[in-house]
Order: sequence, then C-alpha cells, then structure tokens
Amino acid sequence: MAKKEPRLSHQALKVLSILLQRPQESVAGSDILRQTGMLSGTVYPILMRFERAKWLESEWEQLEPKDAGRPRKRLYRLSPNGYNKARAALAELELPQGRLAWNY
Amino acid sequence: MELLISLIVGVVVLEAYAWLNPLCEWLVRKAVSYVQVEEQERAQEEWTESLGTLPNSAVRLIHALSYVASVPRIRSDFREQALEELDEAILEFPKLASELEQPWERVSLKVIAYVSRATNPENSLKRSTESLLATLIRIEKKVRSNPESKISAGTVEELAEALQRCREATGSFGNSTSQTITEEVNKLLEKIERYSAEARKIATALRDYIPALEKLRSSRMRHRDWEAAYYKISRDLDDYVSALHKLSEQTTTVEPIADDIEDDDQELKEFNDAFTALKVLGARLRSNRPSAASV
Repeated sequence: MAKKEPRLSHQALKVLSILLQRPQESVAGSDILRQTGMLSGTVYPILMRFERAKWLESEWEQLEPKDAGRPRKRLYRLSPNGYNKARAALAELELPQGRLAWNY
Repeated sequence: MELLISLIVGVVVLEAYAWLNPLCEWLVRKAVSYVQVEEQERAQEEWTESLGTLPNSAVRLIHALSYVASVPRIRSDFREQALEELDEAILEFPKLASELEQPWERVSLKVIAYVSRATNPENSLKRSTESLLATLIRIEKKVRSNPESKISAGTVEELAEALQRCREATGSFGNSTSQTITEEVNKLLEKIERYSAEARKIATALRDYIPALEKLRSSRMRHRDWEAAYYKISRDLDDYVSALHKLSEQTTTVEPIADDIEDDDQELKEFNDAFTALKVLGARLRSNRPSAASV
C-alpha cells in the first residue's frame, strides 16, 4: 500500500527549499530557523514529519557535547527519494528550486 | 516616590529577565514531555541546542513557547502516521500470513509424497507396472492397426526400461524404511517440519493480531494510553517480522539438501518454486519492514 505523502504547507515548502539549496550537505534545524526566520515550534514538527515520511535522513553531529560545551546538533539531509519529491513539489508550483517566491 | 517605584520596577524587570532562561528550559521540558515517548530524548537535546543558538532570552522565550504550541500538531502527525501504519498492517498481515504458509504447505506435501514413495515399494511397483502396461497397449494398438508394422528399436528400449523398473521395484520388497530413507534426508525432514511449524505459528499469530489492530484503530482512549498501546503492538509486530525474516533466511540451509530427495525435474522445479517464494517474501520483509523505531 502506498504511503500517504506528508502535507506540503507553505512553511514546509520553505524548509524544503532551504534543504534543496545544497542537497549534498547536512543542515541543522537551528540553521534552518535562521535562514527561514520561522519559529522552532514550526520548523521541528515539519522536520519530524518529513523524516518519518523518509524524505529526510538525519544524524547527530560528530562531537562530544562535554568537549564542545554545547549539545550536539541534529543534522538533516534530503534522501534520494526526498530530493526527487521535493524537486517535483516545487516544480509543481512552478518555482525555481532553492528560490521560492517569497525570497524574491 | 517615583524614584522608589522605578527602582522596584527595575528590580522586578531585571529579576524577571534573569528568570527567563530557567523558564525557557522549563517550557522545553514541558513540551518534550508531551511528545511521543520514543522521540523525547532526541527532542530534548535538539530543541535545547536550538534555543542555545538564539540571540537573547526574550527571543528564546518566544521560541520555547512555540514548542509548547507545536505539541498538538506533533501529536496529530504521530497519530495520523500510526493510523496509516495500522491500516497497512490490517491489510498486509493476512496476505503475509498466507504467503508464508503456502510454500511450506507445498514443501510439506512434497516431503509426504517422497516418504510415501520411499517407504512403500508397492506403490513403486504399481507405477512401474502401469507404465509397462501402457507401453504394451500402445504396441498392441499399433500392431492391430497394421499387422505388417515393425516394432522400432526405441519401443523395444522403452519396453526394456519399463521391465527394468518393475524388477527394481520388486527388488525393494523387504528393504526396511531405515535403509530407504537416509539419515541425511531424515534430518532434512525434521528441519522442514520444524520450520513449517514455526511458519504456521507466526502466520497464526499475525492473523490473531488483526482484531487487536482493529480495536486500537477505532479506540478513543487518551492520547498517552493510545500511544503506549500502539508502541506495544508495534514492538510485538516488529518481533514477529524479525522472526519471519530469520525463518526465510534459515530456509537457505534446507535448500541444498532438498535437492537430494528429488527424483524428477518437475518435482525439483516445484520444490525450488516453494523456496523461491520464501526468499522473495524474505527480501520483501527486509526492504519493507514495518518498524517501531521508525515511528
């Protein structure tokens, strides 16, 4: 049975566009917050939703919190499937990938 | 008086500002405690890290409040996905159970047929006699329709082979079962029996789980209780799927020996089909395994 795709709200698309800018690189949630200007309570549920749908892969930053003096970051990256779906979703809106209308 | 008031207000504001960080931490802890249990540890670490990157306490407070506000959305996302997985399991499990049983049934039938043949020389003689009779009838028809016809070398060879089979079958009278069925084949039969029993047990367990899944699907219990019930079922199912997976891998240890008990190409093909079906099932489970950890 095909899984239902995650909801693609305005904010969700904004998060996807950030991840599509550098699909090879992992991005921390806090970096997405900074780039989108959205609230944490909006971004993290979106990231959780996309990860459950397997559009995103995530892993902890490789560092020892005690040595770094701060908690580890959780790093997110589009999965190959997520990359294709995110591109398709943004293309459907006829917006160039990596640059959404509100960024103009 | 005005000086005193402004002094008091100043102290209160300073004090309140000093308490903002502990308040933010408390709000994060509060929000995390409402997130589903398996995500809590991760959310605590990630959200705290994220708050730490914000420029000042007032902004941190706004973000901390937004975590609390996001809890209903996180819960509803979780519930939606869990319901979807339940729906999938309700549809998939009966199919999976029968897919699991069918190859073993076929393998078991082949084994029963083999044992019956190996332990009953009368059957073998009967088959050989029937074959001999069929060849003779064919020759008789041919001769009747054309008395001048000659019997070909191939027909004579066929006749000799049929007679030879009869002779062999007659010779096997008196052999004990232990001589006919080798020790190796016996081991194989035991293995097949064991795997088959295990496959049936898992298939039955999967079918028995359907009412529990349906009950949970339509349950209106409190979110936390529902979540606990879901995780329990999800972990049980994960165990069953692991057992299925293990079983499908174990069959590869049976397959090479299985070739030993085959005596014609058609049977070998059927045996191989049964094992291939199990392998396909195993591969599908590996790639599409429902997992509690993914929730």
